[in-house]
Amino acid sequence: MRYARQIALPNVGRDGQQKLRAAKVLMVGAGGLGCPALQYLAAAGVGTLGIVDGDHVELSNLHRQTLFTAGDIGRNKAEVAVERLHALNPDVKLVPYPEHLDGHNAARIAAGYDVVIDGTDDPMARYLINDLCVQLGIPFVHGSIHRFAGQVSVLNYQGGPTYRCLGPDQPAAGEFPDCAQAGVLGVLPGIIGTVQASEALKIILGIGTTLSGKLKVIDPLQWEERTIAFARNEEQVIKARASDLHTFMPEQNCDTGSSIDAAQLMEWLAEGQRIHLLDVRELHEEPAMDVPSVLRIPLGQLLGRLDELPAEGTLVVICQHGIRSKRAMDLLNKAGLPLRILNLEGGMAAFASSKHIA
Amino acid sequence: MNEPSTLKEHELICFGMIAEWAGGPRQQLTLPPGSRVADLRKAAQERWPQLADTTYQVAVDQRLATDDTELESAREIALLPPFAGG
Repeated sequence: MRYARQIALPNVGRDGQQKLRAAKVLMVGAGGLGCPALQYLAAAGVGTLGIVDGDHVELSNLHRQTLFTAGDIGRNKAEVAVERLHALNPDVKLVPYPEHLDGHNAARIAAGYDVVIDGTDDPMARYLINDLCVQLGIPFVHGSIHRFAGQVSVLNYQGGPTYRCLGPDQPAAGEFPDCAQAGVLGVLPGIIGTVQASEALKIILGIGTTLSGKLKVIDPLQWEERTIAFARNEEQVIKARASDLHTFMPEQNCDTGSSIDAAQLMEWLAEGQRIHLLDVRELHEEPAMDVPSVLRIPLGQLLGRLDELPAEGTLVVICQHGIRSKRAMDLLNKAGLPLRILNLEGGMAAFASSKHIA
Repeated sequence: MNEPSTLKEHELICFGMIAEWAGGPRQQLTLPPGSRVADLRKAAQERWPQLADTTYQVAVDQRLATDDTELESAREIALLPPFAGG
């Protein structure tokens, strides 16, 4: 009786309901995307739902993470989600993984699942999910959001393209405005998460047309929406197959690395500390730093001009907002120079305004 | 250089943070004839310098493009930033 309205659908029927009961879906992230996706998948009678999340419920989650209540604050999300979903549908086997997905646990967790849904908020984790799914031969439903907009795609499905085919260039660490939150309207992950659940159900049932080879981008604030076609790129698939999952560390993008803030830099300069400054902005960008001996090498030329850098000491890397300089710091760290490299948080914008205040 | 009269105005649709920087999803960008996606990226970055810090994709007529995709017959160009949140 529970599934009567669903079984009544001509392309679901009793056979389809049986397929749902036999299916195992792994949800990575029980957050804004995961909560609504899980609710609909559990309600639909998907046989097994695995839930991976190492985070704890916070008050600021409740405007969009609809499985949680104020009484859950401080508890692990995967464990709370399992309780709520069990109450919703006791037929479903629920498996909590109260840990962050990383290169060490990913293959153990994902083994045996038929579909993976990506509901993480960490760009690096998306590459881990991709490479994991390519290596295990599991389709996955990608979803992500920014403020009022979001995107969905079905990847690694029936010989279709993978996440790497969509964006061969991995975004640099620190490229995103803020790991914590750029702000989001609560209903937006609800829209994207339910589209992800819908794609997962279509894959399990083998019905309709999925978003394989297509990226759905929507902006419900302006009601702009596009479906972008993209092709499988064998080079990228080979890269995913060959990728060493152990190199993916959790929350890599949130790692702020070595940085100093504007006030600290002002203090060091005032004290006459011996530090080197490297400005990686384009030469025309203003305001210029009115401190003597600032080395200016635009980011694009940096790797070709490493010999101009000091041989030792502390090097503070500067740009307009502290984002390009973070990328420069990563490049310099990779180049293995015998320097202590620090990123100026907030860049010249922060430095100039703190100077005003001082 | 080309005469201004030979410049072509392209219709852009921007998503996510790019739409925020540009001040709205619908934008126009004028490019010389024969321009490719790489030229568009340069021109877009001049107008919105934040793009220098962003790994974004370009789609031409709802198809993901590469840097050498020609824009001559493009009806619409989409700028797609990566979305981070979940």
